[in-house]
Amino acid sequence: MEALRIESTHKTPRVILDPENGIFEFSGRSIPEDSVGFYAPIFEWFDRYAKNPLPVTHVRFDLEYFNTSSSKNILELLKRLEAIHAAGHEVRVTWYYDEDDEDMEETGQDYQALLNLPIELSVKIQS
Amino acid sequence: MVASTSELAPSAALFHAYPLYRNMLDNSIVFMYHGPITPDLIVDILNLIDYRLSGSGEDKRISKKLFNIMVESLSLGEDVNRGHATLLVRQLPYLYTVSIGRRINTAAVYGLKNFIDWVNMLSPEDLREAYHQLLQSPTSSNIPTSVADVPSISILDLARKSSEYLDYLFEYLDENDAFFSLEARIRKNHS
Repeated sequence: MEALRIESTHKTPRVILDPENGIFEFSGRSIPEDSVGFYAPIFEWFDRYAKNPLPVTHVRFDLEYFNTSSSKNILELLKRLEAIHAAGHEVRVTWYYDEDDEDMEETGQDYQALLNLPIELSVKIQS
Repeated sequence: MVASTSELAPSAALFHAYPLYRNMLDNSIVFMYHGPITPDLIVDILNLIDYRLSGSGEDKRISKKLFNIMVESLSLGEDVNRGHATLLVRQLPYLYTVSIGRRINTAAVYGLKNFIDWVNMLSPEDLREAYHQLLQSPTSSNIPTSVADVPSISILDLARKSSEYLDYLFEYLDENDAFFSLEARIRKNHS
């Protein structure tokens, strides 16, 4: 399946969905002008991927900040992963947060509570 | 007596500079913006705030929380139909406040006031539950998705992040418009 790569902008995250190399990553900021429009092609990509996923799908979220409009879309995205997981495929999510950012940690906990999906919360290693 | 370096009468705008400076100083306002709020502008403001906070010596946890509250406050100020909004950040000895103000329809004042009053009465657990409801299934929730074009989830988000009650003020401008201000607080000893 063809990879989906979206370069980051100052308002939108970098997205790498590359099954061939086993890389599934979201990083940066998410306050797009059109949140639905930004996430729509990502949802479509996951809908196609769900038909023939890898044995293990490990998705990493390393977000700097985002607004509630984006958090709804991220939940929709995670629901697609939950469906892949429910179909018997291994899916793991790592939710990175800065150790000083308790709101980002709490958002990860929200997703843990709302979904039947293994979501690991992980403190970012400072470089 | 007003001193001017010019023989000509100074511009009327100059007479506003000192009162504005004095007002900001007296009220501990460390950042003020008035104008349209667009996504591009949100990024610019956040970059500026991030720069100022990183050099301020403020506790990183407090800086991060202030920053996150500003992200959502600015999103609340976005309204292409009603034009300008006002953002104020105050730095007091024991807390920061972030206030966002914008015009709303007067017909919406009552509903919005009631909604914020309701949010202010929720316990942290109930707040979390209400937030989850709106995040997961907004249409099946008994909580309105928006009040007066203001997304309910944004208000819940601000209340959760600040862990303090949200203060508000409505100023009636005319029979159609009111100015709505919402203030979130961040205690410096937040735990």
